[in-house]
Amino acid sequence: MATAPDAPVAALGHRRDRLLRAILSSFLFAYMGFILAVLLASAIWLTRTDRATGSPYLFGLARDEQLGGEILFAFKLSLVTSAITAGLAMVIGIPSAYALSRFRFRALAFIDTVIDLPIVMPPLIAGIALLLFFRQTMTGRFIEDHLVPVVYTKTGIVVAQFFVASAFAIRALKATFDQINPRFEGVARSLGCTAWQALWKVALPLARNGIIAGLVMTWARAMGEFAPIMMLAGSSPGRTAVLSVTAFLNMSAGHVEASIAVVVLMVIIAALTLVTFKRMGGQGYLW
Amino acid sequence: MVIEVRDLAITLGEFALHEIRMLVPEGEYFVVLGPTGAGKTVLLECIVGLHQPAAGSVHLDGRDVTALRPEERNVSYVPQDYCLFPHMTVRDNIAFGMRLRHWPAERLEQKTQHLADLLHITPLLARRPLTLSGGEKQRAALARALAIEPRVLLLDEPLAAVDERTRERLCDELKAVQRELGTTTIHVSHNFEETLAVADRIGIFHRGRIMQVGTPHEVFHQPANRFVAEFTRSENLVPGRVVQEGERPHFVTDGLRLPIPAAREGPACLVVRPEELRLHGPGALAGDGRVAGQVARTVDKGALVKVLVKAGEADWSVLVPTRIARELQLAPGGAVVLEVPADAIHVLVDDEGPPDGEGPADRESQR
Amino acid sequence: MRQYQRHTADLAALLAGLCLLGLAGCTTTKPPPANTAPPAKTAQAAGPVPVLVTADLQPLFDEARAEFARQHPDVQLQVTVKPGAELRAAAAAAKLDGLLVTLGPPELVPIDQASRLAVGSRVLLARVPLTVVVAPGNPLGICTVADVAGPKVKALALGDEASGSVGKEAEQALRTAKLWDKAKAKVRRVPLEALIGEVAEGRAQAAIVGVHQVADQVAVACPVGEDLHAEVQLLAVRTTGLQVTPQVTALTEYLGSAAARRPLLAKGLLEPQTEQAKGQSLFLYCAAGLREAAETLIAAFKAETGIEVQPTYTGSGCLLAQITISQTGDLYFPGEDWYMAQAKERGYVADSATVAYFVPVIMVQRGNPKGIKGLADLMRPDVRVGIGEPKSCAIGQFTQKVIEANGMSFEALDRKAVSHFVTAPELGNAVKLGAVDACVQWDAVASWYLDDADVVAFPTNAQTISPIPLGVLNFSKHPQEARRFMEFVRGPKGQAILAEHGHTLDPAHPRFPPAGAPSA
Repeated sequence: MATAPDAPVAALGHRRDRLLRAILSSFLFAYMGFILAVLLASAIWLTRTDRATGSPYLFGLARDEQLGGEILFAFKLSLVTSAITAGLAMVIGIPSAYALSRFRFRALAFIDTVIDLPIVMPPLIAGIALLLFFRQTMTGRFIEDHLVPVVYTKTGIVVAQFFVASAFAIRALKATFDQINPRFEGVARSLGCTAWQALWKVALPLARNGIIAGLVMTWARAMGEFAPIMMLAGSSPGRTAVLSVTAFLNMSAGHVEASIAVVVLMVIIAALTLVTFKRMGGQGYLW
Repeated sequence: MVIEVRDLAITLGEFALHEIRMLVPEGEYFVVLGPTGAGKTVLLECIVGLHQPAAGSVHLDGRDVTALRPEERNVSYVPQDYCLFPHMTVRDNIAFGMRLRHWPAERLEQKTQHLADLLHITPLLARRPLTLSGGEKQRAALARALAIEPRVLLLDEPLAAVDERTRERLCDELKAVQRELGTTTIHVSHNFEETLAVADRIGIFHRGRIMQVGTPHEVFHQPANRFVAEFTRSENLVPGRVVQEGERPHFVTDGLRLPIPAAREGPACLVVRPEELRLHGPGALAGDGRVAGQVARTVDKGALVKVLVKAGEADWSVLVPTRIARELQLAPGGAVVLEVPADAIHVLVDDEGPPDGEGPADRESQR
Repeated sequence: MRQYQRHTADLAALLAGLCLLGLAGCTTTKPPPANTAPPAKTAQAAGPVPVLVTADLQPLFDEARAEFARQHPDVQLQVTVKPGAELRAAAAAAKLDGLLVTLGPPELVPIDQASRLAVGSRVLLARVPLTVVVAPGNPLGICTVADVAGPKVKALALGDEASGSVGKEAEQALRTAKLWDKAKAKVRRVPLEALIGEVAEGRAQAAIVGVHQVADQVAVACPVGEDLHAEVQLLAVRTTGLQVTPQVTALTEYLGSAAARRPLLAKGLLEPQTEQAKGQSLFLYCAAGLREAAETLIAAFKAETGIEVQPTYTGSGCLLAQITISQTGDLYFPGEDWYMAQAKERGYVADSATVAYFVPVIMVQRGNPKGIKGLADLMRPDVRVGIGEPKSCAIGQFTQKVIEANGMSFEALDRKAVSHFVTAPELGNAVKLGAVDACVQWDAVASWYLDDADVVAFPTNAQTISPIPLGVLNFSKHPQEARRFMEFVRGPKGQAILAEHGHTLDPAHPRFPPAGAPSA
């Protein structure tokens, strides 16, 4: 179980190293400053005065209830679908990651590559491939016609998000299970646990932090997805338009202010997610 | 419970076991001693049931349990890093196995308390494993293993992570607990002091094979083969011949003629422990088994001095108490007389030969 | 356990925060609901009502009016009966006024275009199924629609162009059933009223007629499935010249009621589809740039027919790709004709029509600080120009056409351009955000930015104006409803909505007339 590092090793602790420390830190602050400036610019822009109405854009937006309704719907839809995707990713990801971590497969390199593909694939390409699968293949058509309609529906949102975001969950969970010594389960079994009980009573509780991290990561990634959702679920406002799609729709209709509003909203959500993630003790990547 | 391993063979990555044969009678404290990386852990895991052997079988009380799953064998296992469940308190750890068996709460409580008292960890019951010291963890893990009243207890280097002083104390505790409960125990170790402190019998393990099984005395003073001799630091191995001269057999090399206990004639190797050899002042050649020699080097070992002596055209390593070294005024280049007591000599007829652990009956070496 | 309690607390805090954000979005005031007062109930009405009935519908009308006469004995119906084409032409030419009872809806279009239809007066009485009729006794044994295309039938009588829906939908049914190629050689086009005669007198072995036309001289062979063609409706509408008296209202209400429908249903007609249409949903692929207009059109269409339309908005090209892969959907509304042509080429389009036009204009920054007056000014060195990428968007293509039509060099402009954009709205955003000073832009798109930008119009001609098409897709599962939407957008209500959103409906009257030309 990794713990927070102690006080930094004082390789540059000497008083005379101050200049080098300052230079190194300035890189860090410059980068931070760049990010903050870009994100805050959007928030500040909304307080500018709209020439048409004479009051800040923000007020105009707040009173525009068609837009407000649209953003609210997209917000709720984003939350719900991302939550479902995160849950699904756990249900499928935990057993998969456990198998990947514990069992020796002969074709491990191949399996690894396939599982990582959705991460590396451009999301738009993933969306196109999904659309093609569900409408042009026998299996996909069967699912569409007899099981559940996917294309251009809310189900499609979850499918698209799942396809792209679950790979993160599996990676994170695999790393978690890698860290858990299999001997724990061995001891549990020697004490009388069946294989199932050992998984349930020992491996899973020990993986708890990893599971939470995987949940949050998948949720965050699913919230941010755009291209595959647009391809597979369409961009129907009030029906399948999530927050990211709403920003796109508004931009392509010339509603710059509305898009900026969605930008600000998503930045706030992202920040909240990160803060919670860190407080939960998660560390490492969140991409 | 009697543990028996018959012709067990398995290959796991870089570890392999070849034709392991072992019998541990009921209530015995058996130590598997060998260098690290010999596959001792794999052996334990096979007995627990975490691996399916490629060949051979494991028998508990005469019943073949090779096909049984770990949870069906009632074999308790304390792995090398104790593996206390970090998400539970010590009390919950100990109670884990009992809860699985749905024991009534009263019995559970009673047992937990009894074990905690036995192992002196009562104040630790509410703590979490992360906050315990090495010795405390070891005792908690032991309590957990013993809580389910196993017939067999397997300990994988339980005292490896413990400092010298605590180790001594823990050895005594282990032995005491084992004796009280009568659990058949297999204890894996690579440390001699530890082994000698607890073992009823020892099995020497090397590269996936058992080299010798016997009581500590037998293993240390009557090694069955060259490896065991070298491993147990019987550093004096002199090749030569056994010939019958008069009533007694003698061990003969170019520079030596030493009377030995009964042995078969033929090529052989002489083994003597360093601490059994005696040194006398130069010229004191009267008596059996004495040879004139010269001190090559002395090495201070605290309470003992290791003296490297060249005598009878062989190199000898002798351990004498510091007092004796001082009295004899041993110094490099000095003359000295080496005495090889007949009863300290052990003769190896064969360099290898897989011994079986069936009992004191048949063994290659003889007294 | 404390560690995990902290986690739960954090999760709860996060959720609470997000809920608060969501709730914050709820606190906008809603406008008071529109005040729709119910119409005053007409008591006993009295007086004359002129009614125009097409000849083929006369028997039906007579049956329907019987009950009305009982309810309102003091209302005199002044019925004029004429063959359909003649009657409608007279109505359109303002020679006749009254409550027009006819088949439709295509029949009404000319009257509508002549602005002779009273808005909102349309009443749907019933649906008219089509049927195949043959000589009595069905000597040739015609059992299915496919048989009419077979060798047994040497001549097939269909309604001619003047006969309206019956003829048109009969042909559509044959096309949908993929029988048209085989059948068209045998088709005899005759006026609606003569169809029965053709079969009765042996000049044709079969005819496709409305079910209300079936008479004793012929026998019914088989029905024409409704899924093969768009609806043929039995309608009543008011002409604009008819004064709305209480008795007119009473008659109109009656015609739309169940009482009037009963004798019609007995004759084989069907309930109007409006009730059934509710709950169905059409899927519309709509260009992102047409979103504003589309949303209003969809809302108005739903209000009128109860049919839902689910739109998806993205670039026209991306829409085409989605159509190609998914092979599903009902309507395609791309921003540029080029895409509809592509879709037609691939065989996806059943029917399409131009519903508006995109006219290129110059879009400049607010107040026109650089004083741009025409296309030539775009070449000035102090003017930062953005252009659409000709390979990616039609505005780019049309910019090239317009520039070259005005005798300028597009290469020069291309080199000079500050940046190339992939869609029209991106161009507009660039001007609004100050990234460029001017661009050539569609008039309707430019009109979105009127708060932040100005428009300079220039003379255009047919080559430089882009028609905006709306099409019904071949794989539509609800072709009738899809067609209805298309007709709606082409109709007066739809056109008014498009005009509202800044679209040019008539090339001769652009939204932004060039300086000196008369305004739209």
